[in-house]
Formats: sequence, C-alpha cells, structure tokens
Amino acid sequence: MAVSGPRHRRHGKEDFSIKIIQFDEKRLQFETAFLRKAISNMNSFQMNRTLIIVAAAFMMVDALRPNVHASDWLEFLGNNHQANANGAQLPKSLNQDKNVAWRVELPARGPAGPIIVGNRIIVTSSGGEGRQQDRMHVNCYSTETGEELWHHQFWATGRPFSHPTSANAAPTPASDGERVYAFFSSNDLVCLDLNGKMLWFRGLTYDYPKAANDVGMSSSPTIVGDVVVVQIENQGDSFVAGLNKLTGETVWRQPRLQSAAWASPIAYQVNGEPHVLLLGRDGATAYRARDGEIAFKMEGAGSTVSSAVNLGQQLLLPFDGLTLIDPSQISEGQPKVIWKSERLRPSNTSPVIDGTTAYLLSSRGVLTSCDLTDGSRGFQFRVDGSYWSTPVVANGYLYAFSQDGTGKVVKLGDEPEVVSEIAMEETILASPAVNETGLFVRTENALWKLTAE
Amino acid sequence: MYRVWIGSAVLAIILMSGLNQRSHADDQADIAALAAKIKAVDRFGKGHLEASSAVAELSNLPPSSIPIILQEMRGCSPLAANWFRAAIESSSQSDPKAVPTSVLKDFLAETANDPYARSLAFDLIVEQTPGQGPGLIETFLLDPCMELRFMAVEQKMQEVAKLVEEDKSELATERYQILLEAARHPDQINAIAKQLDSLGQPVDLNQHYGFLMGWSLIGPFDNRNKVGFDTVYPPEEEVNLSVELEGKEGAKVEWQPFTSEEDFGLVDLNEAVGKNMGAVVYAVTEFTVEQETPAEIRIGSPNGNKVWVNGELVISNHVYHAGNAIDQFAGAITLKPGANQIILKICQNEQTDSWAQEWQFQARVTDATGKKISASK
Repeated sequence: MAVSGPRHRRHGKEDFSIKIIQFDEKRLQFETAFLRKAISNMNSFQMNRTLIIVAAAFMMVDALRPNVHASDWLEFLGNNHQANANGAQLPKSLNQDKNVAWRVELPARGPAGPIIVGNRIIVTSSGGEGRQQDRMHVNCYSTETGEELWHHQFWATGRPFSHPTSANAAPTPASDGERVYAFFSSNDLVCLDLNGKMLWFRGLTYDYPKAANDVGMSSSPTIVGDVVVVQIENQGDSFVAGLNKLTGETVWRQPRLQSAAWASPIAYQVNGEPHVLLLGRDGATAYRARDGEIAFKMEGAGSTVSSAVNLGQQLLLPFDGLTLIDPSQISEGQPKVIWKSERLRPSNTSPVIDGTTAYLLSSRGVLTSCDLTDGSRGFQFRVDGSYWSTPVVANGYLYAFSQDGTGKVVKLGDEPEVVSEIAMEETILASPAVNETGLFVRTENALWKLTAE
Repeated sequence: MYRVWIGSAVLAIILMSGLNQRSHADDQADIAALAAKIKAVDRFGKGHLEASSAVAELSNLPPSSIPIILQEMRGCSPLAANWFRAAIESSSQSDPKAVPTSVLKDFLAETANDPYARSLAFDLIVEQTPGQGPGLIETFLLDPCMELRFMAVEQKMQEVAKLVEEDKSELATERYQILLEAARHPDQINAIAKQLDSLGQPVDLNQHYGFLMGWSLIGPFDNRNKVGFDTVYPPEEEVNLSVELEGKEGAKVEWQPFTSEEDFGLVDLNEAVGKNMGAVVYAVTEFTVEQETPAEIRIGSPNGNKVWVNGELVISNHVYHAGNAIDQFAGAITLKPGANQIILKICQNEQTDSWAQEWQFQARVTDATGKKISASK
C-alpha cells in the first residue's frame, strides 16, 4: 500500500504516458448480444421499433464522444453518466488485505468523485478556516501506483460554505481527454492541462455575486462540443453557462429557475450537433451547446439531485419519476417520450445502466431494476445502508458504497445477492470511478484503489 | 597569428555574453509586465488570453524569480491571486528548494505584503521544509491575514488543550483568554469560550462578539409569493417610531421595542412578532461612535434580508433557508460620528417544511477582521 507525501508536496511529471484504447471490443460484444436479444423478444411493431432504437443507441454511444477512451472515466458517473464499467477487471469480492492496491491521503476533504484520464486520476478537495472551505485543491495521481503527480491549490473567490456533510469540493471534475476542469461549490472553475499547468481560472460568483447556495452546490461540469457547461442553480443569480473550454470566456449564458438544484448536466448529440440537458425543480431543459439556444423544455417535476443518463439516442431522465425520451424527435417543442414511470423515482443517487436495465439505488439502500425497453419495474432488493454515492456496475456485479464507509458487491440477476462487503471505515459520499485495472473510491479524506487479487 | 585568433575569439565571447546578459532590473521589468497582464484579469473572463500567456511565461521562469513574482502580487484581486499562485507553483516544481527559505521568510514576516502572496510564501516554505510550519504558525497569532491567523489559533488551541489534560488549569485559562482575543473565526471563538466555561470562566459571547441586542421592530408586512422583498414599505422611506402603519392584509402595525436575551444576539421573529409565513419585519437600531470609522455590518439569517446603514443599502440577499451562520453576510460601511441608523428587513417565505420555519436574525458591527466595534453609548 502506497501513501502519498505530505500535504504540500507537489510534483510535476511531464510526458506521463496516456493509454488510449480506440475501441472497446467487449462493449461491442455486449451491444451485439443485446441487439440479438432485442430482435428475439419482439412482441409488437412498437416494441420492435423501440428495442432497435435503444440497441442502436447503445452501439452509437461511444462514437458520439470522440475524446472518450475506453479506459477513461472523464466525468461524474463516467462517460455519458452510465456508471457502467463492463470489461474492467474488478474484484468480485472486497477484502481489506487482498483488494486494496493503494490508499492515498488527500490534502483536504470533499464528496467530489475522481475522474480518470489515461494513467492519471484527478480529484479535488477543500479545506481552510473551519466550515469556510476556502482553500481548494486539485490533485493528480498515478492510477497504477497512487504516486502524486501534481497538486495545485487555489483560493475560493465565491462563497465556500456548505452543510457540514458536504464541502466546497463537491462537484466532480470533468475532462475532454486533454484538459481538466475542476469546479467547486463556490463556483470557482479552474482549467489545467494534464501535466498540471493552469490554463485559466474563472470565479463565477465573482462575476455574479448572488450565485450562491450556503447549503453547498454539487452540480458537476460537463464538456459539450467546444464549451464546458456549468449549472449554477440557486435562489440568487441562477444560470447555466457555456464557457469556451480553451479560454474560459463565456460563450453563452441562460437564466435558470431561482431554486436550488444539485443535479449535473448531461451532454448528448442530435445529428452531430452537441446539446446539453439540465434538470431542475421546474423540469428538464435542453440547450444547444454552441449558442445556448433552448432545444426544448419539458415542464414537470425534474429531479434536483439525481442526474440524467445518456443512452446514445435516448436520454433517461429523473423527471416525473423516470422518463425515457428521444431528444432527436421533437414535436410541438417537446421530445418524444418513449415511456414514463411515476413508480420509479431516483432519489439521491442517479440511475446506473447495464444493457437494457437501469438500476436505481435509493438513499435508504433499496435497489430497484428497471427494464429500459418499456420502463417496467423488475426486482427490488434491500442492499441496506444510506447512500449519496451512485454505484457502478461491471460484468454483472454492482458496487455500492454507503455513507458509513461500507462497500458492497451485489451479484445481479433475477435474485440479486450481496456477495461481499468491505468496511472502509471512512465517510463515503462520492461516486467511484473505474478503469480497466480497478475501482477508485474517494472517501472523505482519501483515495483508494481496489483491484482484483 | 594564432594569438590574434584567440584574442578575437575571447573578445567575441565577452561581447556576446554582455549582449545576452540581462540584468536583475530587466528581469524585474519583464516580470512586472507579465504580472500586469495577470492583474488585469477581471470579471466575465476579461483579460484571459493575455493572462494565460503570462502565466505560461511565468511558469517557465526559474524558481529564483519567485520572490519577484510574490512582490508583484501586491494589491491583486482574488481572481488574479489564483493565476499568480498557479504560475508560482508551476515555477517551483522544477526545484522547490531553489528559493532560499530566508528570502521567503523575510517576505512572510513583512505583514504589509499582499496577504495572498504571504500565504503562498508560507506554503512554499513548508513545502521546502515541513518542519518549519509550527514555528512559523506560532508567529501568526495577531496576523492581519486571517488565513494565517486561523492556523495560529488552531495550533495554540491544541497546545492549551494539552495544558488542560495536564491539570494546569490556571495557565490554560490564561492562554485561552489570550486566544479568545486573537481569534476571529466564530468556530474558534465558540470553541475557546466553551473551554473557558468548562474551566469556570464563562464568556459573555454576546458582549464578546458585540451583537446588537436592542431593536425596534415593526411588522408583519406582506411577503406572500415573495412579493415583499422588493416592495418598498414605509420604514424604507422613513423611520418614525411613533407612527402606526398598515401591515399585511391591512392590519395596523406599530413599532415595538425588543431586546434579545438569546445567545449570539438572536432575534427570533416568530417569538417577537408572532409566527407569520409570507411576511416581512423591519428592525431598526442606532449605533453611535465618536469619530468616522471604517467598519462592516455583519448579519446571520436564514431568511431573505436587506440591510441599510444611514440609508444606504449594504446587504441584500433574496435567499430563504439555505444556510444560517454568524457573520453569514457582511457589508462594508463607514460609520459617521454620532448616531448611525441601521435598518434590517427580514423576509419569511411560505415553505411548509419543518426546517423552513425559522424567522430570525443576528447582527453586529465589526472592523475588517471581524473584531467587534463598540458603540460609544
């Protein structure tokens, strides 16, 4: 087990190699298998059509994000928010002695999840004067060894307050594969290259002084086309902005409902045109990435915490319960609703996708499956625990990390079961990241790598 | 002949080296020019392109340039401070120990230097020699940089806690009292007061913080559908404590004196004027000083709020039930000699959640560091 150096240590390691995998063969195998299943299960013309669309969507999804490499985990819940890591070599049981490859102490605390770009893992944290979390950290470590590659600190220019459970470092960073965008609850956004050189720094509360939520904000940025999109939704200056990802300058800004939201925007494309969809208390709104023009707005009960998922041609929305839409088919200003289920209601965590199934883990530890083809509910299984962290799914197993620091491996199937547990004994609010070599879990003050033996 | 060639070669080398040699003043001028580009960074991404280029150039300078860059940070904005910080951290990566610690220490010791730059100098010293941290922190107890002072109070609190464990109560009490005067952060002040209380020396925190306890209140006025926040009710135009006004739903309301007896100067409006959702209350007080004094008005409230001092709006937050803390909001003011009128407008919305029923405020007048300013009467 390797442990990082002292708090103030910073290393600059240039030319750290980035492993690029252009094509995920296992994913293609899976998608092909799904397509076969879809065709064999056709019951009606409508179902037939829906299944083919969904299947095609899965096959398209990687092509929509040109910077996505199979081994990367570039944003909150991974690429497209699917929290899916099929093909990764993950342990099927978790044991402190056998599966902890390394653990590094972070310089401060936070519920922000890590992201992975090649062989680098990047994570943010915050500390400072008590509850006033005005010192922000961005750390980069080797995914292989946990060695610190670089560490930068910044001062918050916005309001760095939050509920004691959260921290200024609540949003998960994002990357386009070449740059890192670290965002904080204080609405400070910093762009660095992969070697830790800062390219620009933006203080969005410095720009808009009423853009604040002293409970803390956690919406993670996403990169859509040439802009990095931040959702700053609160009772004061409430807006969504697309910033030039190279310079940090504002490309567009649209007002949002003056009501707090913590959900993260999701990128998607229609006919090659990048868009972004946001959830808020008043519904779901899609914006064209290049100019912020509203593509559509669905009025209703949008989730303010749980985030949407990009399935390729469809988007799965925590909206009026759970809703699957096709944003490419707009009629009278509204996207085509493929199905809607008011029975299925994601809470603090976001839906997790595995093929034609979505899994919803409630904040109280009840796991529910949902058939994406028609929105029907499948099993309900009590995992137990209290959850803010969205689980990940890989190779038929679900990895869930509860607030009290317990990690559980759930074998999925018609009769799911918890097959392993690990007591990490540190608060966990962050959603894990995965690459082909392991599972990366951020506890309140540390970053862990869990691997197969 | 060969001597001629050698002599010419030596002369050429000397001349060329002279041409290429840049003076310290030249370096300083170059760095100042780059620093100016970073200082020009402003709201809405203004100056980003030039500043990005300047950060890249500064990042590539040898670490020996860091003391000059630190000097150039003076007076920089919070935004620019982060651009400078990134450049200095990148520059120091090539050899963190290249800058003599003594140079950084001298820079840190000069409290007139930029607080962001001093804080960064401290981090660089600790990075060079982690063992130097505690000794330096010890010197920050009365530092004008609150970030540094916070560390000093924190460190001293741990030391005094050990005295308590060793049953050295008298010495611990004395040290805690010194720390109480030095501390500015409410978390630390409250923790020290708690320790002093357990040592038999209770602290009057209302007096220590300087919370304003005596108020005249009037309300409720209408804030249903949050209309009241931007509605100018009569107390915003004129305060006449003897008049009766028309309040919410036409009810007659009049000014009533109220003295808080709560901890932290809390004024519970549900108690003082009665629970009323979708309502506004005004609170007025006077704060008298003998001479013109730069100050801050600091309030805490979970409700929508506005604050006027001598008729000038200095705080405005249309936010409901999203945090509540001592000194949550602050506004810079200048107290005039004599009586200064302070008006608070506290707006309650109509949320039905159990955690959204609080309707309250607390307020105090401080200097820029958070130390109370005492009224002269």
